[in-house]
This record gives sequence, structure tokens and C-alpha cells, in this order.
Amino acid sequence: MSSNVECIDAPKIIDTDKTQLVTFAVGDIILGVDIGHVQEINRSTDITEVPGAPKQYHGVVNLRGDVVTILNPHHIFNIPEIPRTRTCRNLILNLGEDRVGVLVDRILDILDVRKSEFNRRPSNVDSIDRKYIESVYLQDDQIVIVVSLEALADAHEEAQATA
Amino acid sequence: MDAELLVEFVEESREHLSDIETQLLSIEVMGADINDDLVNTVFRAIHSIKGAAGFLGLTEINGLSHRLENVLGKVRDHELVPTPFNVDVMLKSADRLMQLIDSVESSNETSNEDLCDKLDKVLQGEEGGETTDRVEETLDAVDAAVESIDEAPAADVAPSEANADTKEVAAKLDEPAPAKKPAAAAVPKANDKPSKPAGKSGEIKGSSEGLAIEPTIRVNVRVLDQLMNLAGELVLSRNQLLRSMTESSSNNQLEKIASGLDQVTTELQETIMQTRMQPIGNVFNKFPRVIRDLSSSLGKKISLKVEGNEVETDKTIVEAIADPLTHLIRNSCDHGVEQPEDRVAAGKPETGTVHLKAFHQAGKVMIEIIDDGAGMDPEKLRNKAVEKGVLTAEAAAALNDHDAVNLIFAPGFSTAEAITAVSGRGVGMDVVRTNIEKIGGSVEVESTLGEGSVIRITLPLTLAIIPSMIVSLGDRPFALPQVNIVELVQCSGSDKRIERVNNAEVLRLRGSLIPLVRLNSLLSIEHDESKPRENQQVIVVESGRSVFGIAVDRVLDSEEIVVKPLSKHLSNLPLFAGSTILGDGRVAMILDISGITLQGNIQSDSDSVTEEPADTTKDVADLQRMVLFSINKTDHFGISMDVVRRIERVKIDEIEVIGDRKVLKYRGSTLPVMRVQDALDTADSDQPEYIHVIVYAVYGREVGLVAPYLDDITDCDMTFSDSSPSETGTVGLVVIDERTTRVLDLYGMTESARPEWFTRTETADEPAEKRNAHICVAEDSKFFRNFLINTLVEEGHTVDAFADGQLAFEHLETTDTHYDLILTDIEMPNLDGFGLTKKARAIERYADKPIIALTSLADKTSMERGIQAGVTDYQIKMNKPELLGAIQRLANKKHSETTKYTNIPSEGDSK
Repeated sequence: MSSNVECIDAPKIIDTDKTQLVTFAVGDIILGVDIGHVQEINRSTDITEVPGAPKQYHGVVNLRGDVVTILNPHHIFNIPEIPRTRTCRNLILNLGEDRVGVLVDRILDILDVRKSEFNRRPSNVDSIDRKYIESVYLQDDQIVIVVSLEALADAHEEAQATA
Repeated sequence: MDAELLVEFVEESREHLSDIETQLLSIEVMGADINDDLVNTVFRAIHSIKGAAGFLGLTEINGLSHRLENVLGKVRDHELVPTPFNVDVMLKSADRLMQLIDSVESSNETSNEDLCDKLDKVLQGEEGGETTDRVEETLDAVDAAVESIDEAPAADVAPSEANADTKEVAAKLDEPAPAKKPAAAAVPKANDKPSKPAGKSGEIKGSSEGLAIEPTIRVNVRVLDQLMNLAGELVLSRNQLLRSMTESSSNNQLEKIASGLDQVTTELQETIMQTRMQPIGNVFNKFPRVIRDLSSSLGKKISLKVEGNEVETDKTIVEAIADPLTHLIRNSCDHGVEQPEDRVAAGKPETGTVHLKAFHQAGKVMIEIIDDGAGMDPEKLRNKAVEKGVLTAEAAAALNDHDAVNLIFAPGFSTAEAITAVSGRGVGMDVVRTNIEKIGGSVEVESTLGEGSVIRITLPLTLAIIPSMIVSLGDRPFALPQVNIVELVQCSGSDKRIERVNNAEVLRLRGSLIPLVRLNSLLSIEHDESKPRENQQVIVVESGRSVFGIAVDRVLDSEEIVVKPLSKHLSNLPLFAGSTILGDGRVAMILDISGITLQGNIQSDSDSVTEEPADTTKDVADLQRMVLFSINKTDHFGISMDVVRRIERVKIDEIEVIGDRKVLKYRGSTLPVMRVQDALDTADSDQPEYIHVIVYAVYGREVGLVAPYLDDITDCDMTFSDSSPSETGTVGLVVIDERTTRVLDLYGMTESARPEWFTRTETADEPAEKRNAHICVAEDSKFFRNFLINTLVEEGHTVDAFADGQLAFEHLETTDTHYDLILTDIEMPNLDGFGLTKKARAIERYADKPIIALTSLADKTSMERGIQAGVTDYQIKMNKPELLGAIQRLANKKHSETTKYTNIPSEGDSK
């Protein structure tokens, strides 16, 4: 497993079943998102806090002239927060029209996977709230939770409602 | 249906239709005298819509545009004269087309029979022929055409409703009447003249042709925004580059490149900004139609004059201003312009005018809506405000007329007696103001009862860039828009200026108490409070009617910031208006002052605190214009501006000492000068190279007072002052800008230092047989009241003083005391000096007593008003010797015996 992937090449082979998962760690949980939703991964962790914003958000960053909201995955997934380290990365996602960042503890890998290998929400995975789990993927012995971006998007809808 | 084609069709059709309204209206104005090019343009636009709609299978759009095209074709061929009725149908069809195109997917399910029928009738109506007299009339120009509508129906139905005229003409047109030939007679007239337009129609043609010339290309707004962003980033990178260039050792070649880059970047940014600029005419263009429809539905005659269509401003502003403007224009038509018969009765032309004007002023865009209607009655508005609970009776009475008129923008205010369809729901003007303020603008109204109103809107040139103050809390930067900032205050240690009142912090500033919020508690940020309070930086901000202070750690810089929208997740936080990226690349949140006002309990408890000082300073006015100066770090002085003739700046060595006198060689003669320390106890005066000399006059002789440091000339609030004179030569103490300032009694001071200048006045002036008078004083300012009492009592007079004209008058009316003289201030609450004079003159025993008005208003009009009201003499408040002289002179005289006005600043009088 390589780490510190700063730049992602588009998948070269066109195969409708094949896709790539960007995997990352939040706490001791390994998560993944479809690479199609990932715009970039960067180190701009100089986050401006937004006082009064719900806890789901770390704040905002300057992404080449755009102000992008950064989510706090620890809070959303209810995972104990750990101090930020040098391996922290901003995973910038395209969620519909919006761009949001997720401040993850570590970027792990890009996996070539087949969609058919995904398991839909197995009942035995309970490390994070099931509504955020789209499916899981078994990489060797490790469970990679594929995050439901819709649910993530909803997470801030809720946050907005409570804001 | 091909989706892409459809989108293209919609875009293209919108473009075609966007101008059609104006064009149709121009055609209407031209009447028979049409401009072929213009009609052709409209015809072609509709023709292409028709064609494309047919191709795409949009049957309804196709059908409607087909019929509209037929009618236009007739107009083009000079077979149909565009009358208001015809054009009305055409306008409605164009509107309908727009609607259909907006919801193009469902357009085929709609039914447009009604309009098609009408269009067909217009078409056939003219073909069938009409009574000759009508046709003849339509051959005349616009006015005649309008008349014909008014006249024609009169025979059929009584024109009870304004709307009726169109209906009746419709009825008329249904009759098979118009003859083809007379209409065609118009042809030769129109044919020979695209180059020779007559009158009004010519102007319109000229402008519509002018607009079409510049080649343009349509660009998606998103692309422009993106460009704008990138340019912003480029600016940022450039800044960083330039910074590191100056830090590192110089490299000529590199510097050259950098400065080239610098220039190009700046220009690029400006050009990109320009792409967002749009002429305000885009909005103005829709108003001829609005006015046209409104005047018919209101039964009024209104003409619209538009000026400044070409004035450009940011696209967002142009878009955002459309609704507020429409509302204001509707209001002007509905409430402003009167019914024709009322106008005639008031001696005005039957047709009211609404003048819409845009222009640039001081880097801002101004829009004025001027109507020549009924204007607003401030008294009515005051009453309304009280009735609606917007203001208390006292607060309403204290408002001056200008503020009273501007009450229309207060929430929950509507003066329309009946709610009409056009306006009068009472939320409108409030919303108008809010919307205009949202885009950084402001709105105010000026009105003269009976003559009309002017609504003035001030808008920023661009929204994208806001001048802001960057402040910090800890190491977090925040941006605060300059528009909201009243002033920056650094609390000084010597003065405890942040105080606690009822558990809340307030800022004491020049005598007013201003609610204070700390940015950290506002934003619930944990914050180190160890910073000494003395140097607290406070930014006084205002939003709407509330004024409050925000305490911050540091004020960093003022910067022009580019507003970056927040993602939707954070966009509804009430405290922030958005975010921005600072020069160093950090993101700073922009504080939303109106949001903060609503959020905190600022509104609720500040209303009681802020409004009071705001009212006192503005209206109840214990304000005095003062020249402030100091002679060193500790001794500060103020002089009432009323007695100052001018201020000179001279080198200190230009003052010569002759004997024990000091004189300033000046304009070929010498000016005796004195220093404050000659008369008062002070510390040693500083001796800066340049000093100021404040020139005033003592009995016509000019004297200079040395003012080493001139601090300010400002309106000072004298409310919190102490006017018990502790020292000869001073009137009292007042705290101005946290400094204890001695207000000088210039004459008393001069007299104590140079008694010889005063002795001759005793002999020179009128026979100095001192007579002690009984004087009634009306003066609202406590400070001056005490000053007057002290001065007069010292002279041996007996004084009764009152805090305003009303109190003084009530006393005069009821008491048995016979005053020898009345001394009155002019600007007073409840009853001003003129009012008091008038009322006092109505009491028999005061009809002929001398009344002296005290003023700083030395202008002719107020003097004339005073003479009319019955004032005997004018004196300047702080000019003690003149005032006392006048009292001596007048005390035993009758008003009717005195004709001489000794006054203002006495060029050579009382010699």
C-alpha cells in the first residue's frame, strides 16, 4: 500500500464494471470513495474556522480562489478525533454542484476494483452509522467502507437545518 | 425533441423578445409615422421564433407568433396604423410568448385562443374598413391617436373606468369599419423618411439604432465568474511574487519581468471586471411599459422621462435593483402623481411626469426617481408612525421633516388610505430598503408637499469588490465592510470608556452610550481576556437604525476584498455575509452587521440606549460647532465657531514681540495676538514651527489667538458638560474625544488679558447708563442656558430661563411678571425661536417688547424669517460684549422703535 498520493490519473481502461476507489483513514477506520467524485487531494490544511458553524464542519479553505467547506469526518462518523498530523489531507469531492473537502487522517491507496465485488451493507459492519455505508469492499483482510456520498451530502443538509 | 436544439431555441427567442417591448412601445409612439427598420426588426424577430417553433413542433408558440407576425406584417406594409389598442394586443402577445418560452416543455398544453382571436381581430378589423373620421384621426401623430381613443368611445359608453377606453376601442374595432385606402394614405408620408425622423419618435429611433451597432458575443456567466476568480488568484500570486522580490536581493531582469506582470495583471483584472458591467438601461427599459400599464389602471396620465440608460454597473446590481425600482416607480405613480383633475385643480399640467435618472457620482451610481406629484406631508407621516406604533409620540415630534418623510422606509408603514392593487401593503418600502442595503446601497427620499418627491438610490459600482476593514481576534482575521463602519475608536487608558450598565458593556463615546459587543463572545470563541482593556480597539458600526460597537483585538488594515460565496452548507449562518481571501491567501469571514444586529440582543436593548443619543445629537441638538485646539499635551481648549472669523496658519517666528505685546505681521498690517496662557492657568505651551491663529473680533477690532495645535473643527455634544464657570475666561468644561476641554469665553478671556481693549467701548458705545432688565430666556442647551444666566446675572439683570420655546411661552402667557426683553434661541424642540416670537407677539403686553434671537444661523433667509416673525435683533450666542450691548440698548425700547439690526459678525458696527 502506498501512501501520499498527491495526484490521481484518470483510469485508462474503460470497463463499466471496473472502477477505482480512493481509500483513506479516519481514525482507525478505512473508508473509500469512487474516484469519479474526487477532484483532488491536497495538503491545504490551513483551515479557517467558521464560528457558529455546526460541528460537522472544520471550516473553509482557499482552493485556488474558491472558498471550499471542509467537513469533519470524525464528527460525522462519530469517530474519536485524534490530533492532526503531517499525513492529514484534504480530499476534495464533487457532490453534485457543490465542492466539499473532507479532512482525513491519511490517504491510503487507489484500488482498482470491480463493482461486482462490493457487498451491499453487510449487517456485521457497525463501526460507523449504517446510513453512511453504501457498501463494503474486502481488500485482503481489511474492510474498506465505501462511503455513501448522498448520505454525506445529507449530513450537511441536517447540519444546516440545525444550524 | 432534440434537447440541445430546444435550449438554443429558448436562448435565442429570449434574446429576440428581450427588446421587443421597448421596440413595440417606440412603434406605438410613432403612430402612423413608423420607422420601417424598427418594424422590420420586430417582424424578423417574431418570424424567426415562428419558424424555429414550427420546426421544433411547438404548435402553440408557432400559432401565436404566426398571428403576431401577420399583424406586424401589416404594420410594416403601412396597412395598419399602430394605435395604443393594437400595440396593447401585440405587447400582450409578446408577453405570452415569453411565458410560453420560459416553460417551453409544457407550452403545447396551453391554450392561447384568446390572444390569437384578438390578433386576428386586429388584423381583420383594419381590413374590414372603418369610419373615415377615425382613420383620419389616426393619420395624425401620436397625440391625435390617443385623443381618438378618448373621443370615440364617448358616444357609446360613459368612460367611467380608466380601463374602459381600451375595451371600448376594442368594441369599436369589432365593427366592420376602417377603409383600406385612407390608411394607405399614410404610406407616402412614412416612406420618404428613415433619415428624417420627426420629433419624439426620432429620438427613440436614434437610440435603438445606436444600441445595435456594437458587436457582441454571448458568454456564459459561469465562465466569467471563473475568469474573475482566476484573475483574483493571479493578483494574489503577483502580490506574493512582488513581496518576495523586495525581500530577496535585486535582480534587474527579474524585476522588469515582475513589474510587467504586475501591470498586465492589474489590467486583466480591470478588464474582467468590465465584462460584468451592464448598462442600467437593461432595467430602465421595462419601465415605459410599467408606466403605460399603470397609468391606465390608475386612471392617471403619466409620462416617463428616462435619462442615463448607458450608466453601467455590475450585473448583479442591475439584476438586484430591478424589483426595488419597480416598486418605487409604482409607488411614485400610485401615491405620488395625482389624478388628472386634482392636478389641474392644483395648477399643474394634467399629465404627471416621472423622471428616472441614473448617473455616476463620486464612484457610485446614483438613481433618482423624481415625480411632480403631490409630495408627502411630514405631519401626516408622523401621525401615521405613532398610530402604527412605529414611533412614540415624542420621538415622532422630535423628527425633522426630512427624517419624517423617510419614515416611509420603516417596517410596517404604509400611508395609502386604501390598499390598491398597485401598492399599499405596507411591507413594500421596508423590503425595498432592505434589498437595496443588501447590495451595499442606500435609499432616501426628499419631498416637498404639493411639488413632488425625489427618491434617491445610491449604489456601489460593483458588488464583487467591497472596501473593508480587516480586524483580528487572536490570529483569526475577519473582514468588516466599510459601509457599516461609523468610526474606529481606540479606548484610551486615562478614560474609562468601556463601562458596565445593567450587566452589559457600553462604550462611552462623546457623551453617548453605545452598546458594545465583544467579537469573541459574539462568535462564542474562547479568548484570552488578559489583554489590557485600556487599549481596547472598538469599531463603531451601524446597521439600519442601530449603532453599536464591536470590540476586537486589532484593526489590521483596510483592504478591497473580493467576495467569495460560501458553499450552501455555511451560507445561512446569520453572522457572516460571505468569505473572502486575503492578500496572504488566508480565508477571512465577512461579518454581516445586520445579521449581528438581529442575532445579539443588541437590537432589543440598544434601541433604548442608542436611539436616545442619536436623537439628542440630531434633533434635540445640544450641538455646538467648536474649534478645538491644544497648546500642549494636557491643555485642550474649544471655542465656539460662531465667533471665529477665520483661522490662519503661520510660522511661529512671524509673531513679533513689541514691548509686552505680541503682534502678527499680516496682510500688510499687524494683528494683535494673545495666548491662552496670558489669561488662564496652563502648563507651558509647546512651540511648534507652524502655529494657527484663530482670528476673532472685539468691537470690530480683529484679534488673534495663538493655537499651537489645531485639533479639529467639529460639532460637539455639550450635553455632558459642566458650565459653572470656575475660571475667568472660560465658559465651562466639556469632554470631547476623551479629553477634558476648556471651552473659552473668548471675550471674557480677552478682557481679563487686555482690559484696555474694552474700556473704550464703554465710551464709544451708546450712553452707558446701566439699566437692569428683567429678561426671559429660552434656550434648549443647558450649557448655553447656564452661560446666558451667568453672563446676564453678572451684569445685574434678572433672568428667568426656560428649556424650550413652549415652556417659555406658557410662562409668558400665564405669569404676571412683565419682562423687559425676551432672549430666545432659534433651534429648539417643541417650539422654536420663530414660533415663540410669533406667539409672544400675539400676547398684548409683549406685542412691542424687544425680542433678541440668538443664533449661529447668520444667513439671510433665517434673518428674514425672523423679521417676519417679529424679532427685534439678532445676536450671536457666544459674542458676549455684543449681546450685552444689545440688551443695554434695547431693554427699555419698544420693538417698533428699533429698526437697526446690529448683527453678525459685525463688520464695523457698534463703533
